[in-house]
Amino acid sequence: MRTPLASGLTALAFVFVLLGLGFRSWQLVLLALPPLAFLATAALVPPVVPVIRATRTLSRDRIEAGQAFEASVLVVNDGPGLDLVEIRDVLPPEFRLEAGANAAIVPLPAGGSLRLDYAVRPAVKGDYGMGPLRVRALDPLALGYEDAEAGGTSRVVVAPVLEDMRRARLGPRRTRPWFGQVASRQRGIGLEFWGIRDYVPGDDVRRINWKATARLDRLLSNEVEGERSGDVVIVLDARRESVVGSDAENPVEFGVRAALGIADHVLASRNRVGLVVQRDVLDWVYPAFGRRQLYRILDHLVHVRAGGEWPFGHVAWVLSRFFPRDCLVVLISPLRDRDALEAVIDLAGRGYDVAVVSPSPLEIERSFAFEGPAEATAHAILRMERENLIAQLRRVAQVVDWNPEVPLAASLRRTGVLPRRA
Amino acid sequence: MIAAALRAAPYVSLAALLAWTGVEVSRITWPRWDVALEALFLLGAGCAVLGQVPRLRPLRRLGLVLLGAAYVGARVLELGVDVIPSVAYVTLGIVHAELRVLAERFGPLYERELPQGTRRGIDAALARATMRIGLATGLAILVPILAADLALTGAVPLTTVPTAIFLAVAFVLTAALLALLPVLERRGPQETTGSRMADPSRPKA
Repeated sequence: MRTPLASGLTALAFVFVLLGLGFRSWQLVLLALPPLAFLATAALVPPVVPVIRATRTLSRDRIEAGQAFEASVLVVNDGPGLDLVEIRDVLPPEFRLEAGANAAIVPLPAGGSLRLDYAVRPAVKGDYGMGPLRVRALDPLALGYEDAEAGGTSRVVVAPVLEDMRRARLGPRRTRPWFGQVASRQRGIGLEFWGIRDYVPGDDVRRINWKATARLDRLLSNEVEGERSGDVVIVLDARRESVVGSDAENPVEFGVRAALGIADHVLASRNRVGLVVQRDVLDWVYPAFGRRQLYRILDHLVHVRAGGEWPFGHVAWVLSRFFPRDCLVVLISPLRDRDALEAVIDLAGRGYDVAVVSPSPLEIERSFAFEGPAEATAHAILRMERENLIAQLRRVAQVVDWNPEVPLAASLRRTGVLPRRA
Repeated sequence: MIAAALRAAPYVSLAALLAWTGVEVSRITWPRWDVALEALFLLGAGCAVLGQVPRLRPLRRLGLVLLGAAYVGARVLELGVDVIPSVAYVTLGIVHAELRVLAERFGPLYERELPQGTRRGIDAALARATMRIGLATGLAILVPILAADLALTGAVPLTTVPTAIFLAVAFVLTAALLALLPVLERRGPQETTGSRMADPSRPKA
């Protein structure tokens, strides 16, 4: 391949030829020879095509965003010796080099090898490919080069940061027939005292209420409140207009973290969790129990990228047709337009129990923007608009206005609205 | 030592180019052209100097083009084209570009600690590159002088239309051949041993 310098020299030669013909000056024509001499010297010994074999080894192929991992690439030259070769292991732009080097310019003799050791830290969740290894054999006169690729790509799945939700109280109000950890306001199997009834044969002796039996002189048994499970459907608003801030810090990324934290917390308390993501496409995971469901949700969340301009009302349509009617809908949205308000009113009107977790785009924007008098005034006006919207939403749903600088669990506890007893 | 020399070489060649162009432009006495050529020179010098700042790198090429235009303008419009100094000037411009590439490529390698074997390989590569630039520089000066000698001896009629057409066609063919040579070579039998076949992660065709 030619470099820009080679093209420049060719153009220079043409210019001198044309000038010579134009001015009818043979001396000017002769000035075309120096660039041609350089081109000819380079063409006599062109760079060889690299024949490279590369093996990439990763310390981890699944990792949480913000954690570093190590990579090692062994490069072996299976072809002729390379005078000077530029080697670069291609990294996704979201990866930050922490230590070592993923590139080198070295001579590589025939059969010679080179090892690149480095550590990288992915800043944003996603499903990435590391590589391929790009090799460029350089011409000493910088007039040509030959490229080759080796090593293929290595897949690295970067999971979003899991919010610590251990101290949060969050769960569905309405229960399903399956056993769980949500008080059902019905008699059943559980721990909380519910009432007393006459003993019937077959009752567990440990259930007999001896004090009441002694007082009324007949056998009485305790009844307990049944603990059942419920359904939670997390709706993540990842529309294009939700993005404010950087790649790593924007309402969609924080929403993904919140969705994963809530899913983990709710699944751990033996409830079913489903997911609806509104992005370029509207994709969803049907509610289910257990660890496998958490990984299913994680797999969907890893691939979330902001996009699409769907009307928010489509979510209500999908929920009403494909999801259980008596579930708790947790809507995670920055609430940047009034579409969300209308959608929540629509959902509440259809009988859904709705909670809204809203990563505040104002706080995210404020952390990036310079705070001058004009910005402060603009921020105050936007804050009033947002508070007005949230006040309207609170008439029909529970709303958590989440400043992402504060842990989500703390915001949920401060709001103190979830779960609400039926 | 080598790193410092590599770093300094492009600046020295640029200074020489600037001085040379400045001297040529200052010799212009024709009032119609001197201001225009001096403005061109100052603009080119400014671009070439500002282009040394990494953020303003694209100005480098523009600076060299403007300097060259000022020199050629001065020579063509008033001073007359002397073959040997003009060939030397053009060669100096090309050598400056080559030295810049050499400094950017090898400079960082000499500023960091490397294993002894790698260091030896880099020394050898630098020696080969320097030798290649020296050879090309020699050819760039000698070949035009030889051609000029041939022209002056009258072996070729210089100012006829057929000569001009022949020269133009010859140059076009030579430049096109040189430019296409790497592409033609790559399409030869060497391609079957390319790295794409050696890469085991790719399916074989």
